[in-house]
Amino acid sequence: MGTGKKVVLVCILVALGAVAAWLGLTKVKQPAKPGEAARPESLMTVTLYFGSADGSGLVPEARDIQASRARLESVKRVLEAILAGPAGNGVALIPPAAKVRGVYIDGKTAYIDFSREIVDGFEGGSTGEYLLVASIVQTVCGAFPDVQAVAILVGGEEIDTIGGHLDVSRPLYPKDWR
Amino acid sequence: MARGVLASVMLCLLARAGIAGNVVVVYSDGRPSEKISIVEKDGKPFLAVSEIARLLRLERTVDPRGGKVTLRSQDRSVDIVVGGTVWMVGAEAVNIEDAASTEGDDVVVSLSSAESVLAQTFGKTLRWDGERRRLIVGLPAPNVIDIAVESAPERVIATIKTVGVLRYELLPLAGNKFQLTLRGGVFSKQLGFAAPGGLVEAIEARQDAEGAKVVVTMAAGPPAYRVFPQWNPDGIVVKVWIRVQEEIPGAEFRPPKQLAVDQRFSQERATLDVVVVDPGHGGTNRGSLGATGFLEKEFNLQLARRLRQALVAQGMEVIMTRNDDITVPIETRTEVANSTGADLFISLHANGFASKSARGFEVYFLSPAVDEEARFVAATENAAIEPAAIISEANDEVAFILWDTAQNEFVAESSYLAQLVNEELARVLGIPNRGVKQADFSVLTGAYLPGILVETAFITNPQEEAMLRDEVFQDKVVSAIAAAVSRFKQEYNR
Repeated sequence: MGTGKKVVLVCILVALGAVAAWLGLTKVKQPAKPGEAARPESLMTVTLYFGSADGSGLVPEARDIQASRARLESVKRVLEAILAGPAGNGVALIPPAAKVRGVYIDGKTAYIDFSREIVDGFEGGSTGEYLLVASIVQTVCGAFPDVQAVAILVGGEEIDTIGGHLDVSRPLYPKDWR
Repeated sequence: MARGVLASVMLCLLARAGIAGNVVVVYSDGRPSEKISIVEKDGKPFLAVSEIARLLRLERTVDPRGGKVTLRSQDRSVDIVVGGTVWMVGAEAVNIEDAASTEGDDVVVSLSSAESVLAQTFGKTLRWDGERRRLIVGLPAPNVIDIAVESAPERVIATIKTVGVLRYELLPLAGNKFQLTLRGGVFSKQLGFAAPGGLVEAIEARQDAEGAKVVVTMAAGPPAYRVFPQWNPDGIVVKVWIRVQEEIPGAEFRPPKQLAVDQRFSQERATLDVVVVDPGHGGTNRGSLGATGFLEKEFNLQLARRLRQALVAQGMEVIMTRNDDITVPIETRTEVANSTGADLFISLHANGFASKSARGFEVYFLSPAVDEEARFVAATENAAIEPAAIISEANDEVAFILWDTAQNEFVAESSYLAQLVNEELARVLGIPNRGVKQADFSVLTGAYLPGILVETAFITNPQEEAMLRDEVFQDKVVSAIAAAVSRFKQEYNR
């Protein structure tokens, strides 16, 4: 096979791939079948907490989250909504590159496993760090009444501190972080 | 005349169409208070179903064909039908007073209609307090139950009884006043206290979103005060006196029934001579980044070196946790404090925040460990066995609890040192005073000595960053801290 033919073949494959992808996408976008439409999605309206512009406290923001039957997934969705940032006049507190690796619940404590970026990307002082922790604790415990404390993990491990100021080695209770 | 008629017509129209208004939501489960908007129709408050779902933590399903919203919690549900006066609770029809209506893309229901249905179906309470225009979620559980005021010519002692140990903040106010905030505190309705006479003009109790606030107004002159958190029974004792030089009655005062701690710790130091100065961050940990690039770790070290000079000039011994741009782990800093038998720990920082508009200084002290279980165990163990014996048994868990409890002994001292530093800084800095605050600091956890952390100003604010670079400003900070240490030492050495 000559070089020219190879190029043509590659072009055809790429084109076929594009068509397949387009078909796939449009299929997803297509309205659900009538039987499925009768089952509307269940929403949780939760309170997300962000920072106030002067760093004096938390600013609540109501947000609709699609509820999952799996509670851990719902917790993860709520956290991802905080990570996505505020829609109102609140200030984002968590470094934007941070991700939620996983959520576990043991008894009344939710263990939230963040990626390394929550530590590496943190640039605030005591005020920024306090509000970051408070926003996670208040949002999660506020949205899920059976969760009474939050423990923060990074890369699957317990950590002492996020930004070098505050001690987060123990489970964190909403009454201490407001 | 014409204007008056127009105004009346407008008012009438508004009353029919509904007036949107902000009301305060008070949660009894400790969630922070907030403001939400309600709609008023013919004088009755209506609330969006999405807000009800959020406040009461219910799942909400909107019927795509419109006309119906379902609220659900586990296997219980309420179908709210728009326009009708019949809702479905599970399979059962329930009559309600006011029909739900569509408002924008949401459905609003009258609070009086919703109240009883929600309580019956989900066992959750949503109560409208029309008089104070607030919405109460759940049954309020007051945790600030009494303030007993004891007045004498030279001092006033206020004993605040709480349920559980609440964190507190102190803020001096203009006009010979100061404010004590009990974070998350809810005053009991029946709370009443005797009006003090003599040096304290007034003690006021104020409830707001942050918690229970107690504002003390002095009859004449600036207040001097000390705050002593108490455990078992829980509460906070505030001692107030008039500041006269050289006269510091707070020093001998000890609150009653303090939880017993290991005697070895409390009696070890007779005088205050050795101070650990801890420049925050360093090395690979640069701390906050200034608005135009000044690094917090640099500022902290510059300030620490100046503070060392000032304290040495006052005849004190100073130990630095770092004297170069090097990385020092948190536990090493604490260890320096504990292993050298130092008397005070001062951690120096510059604050940073995602928004440049944050400004001002604040002083922190360590929170007590208020884990209920640990407190119970510590109290029991202390009553039964000699504390020193427990520690020597090397039973890690119990030793830890005792260690934790021992730290609580220092909360009153740390809080007072923080207060003095805050006062002195307020005198000279000319930037907003964010008060004395309490939080669990990594560097102060496990430190067996009174300790504070000073957030000097916001390096992320361009004006304050320029101040932090300025040697004159740095000297002001240093002389204020040194003056506070000197005042603290005078009392301590008595």
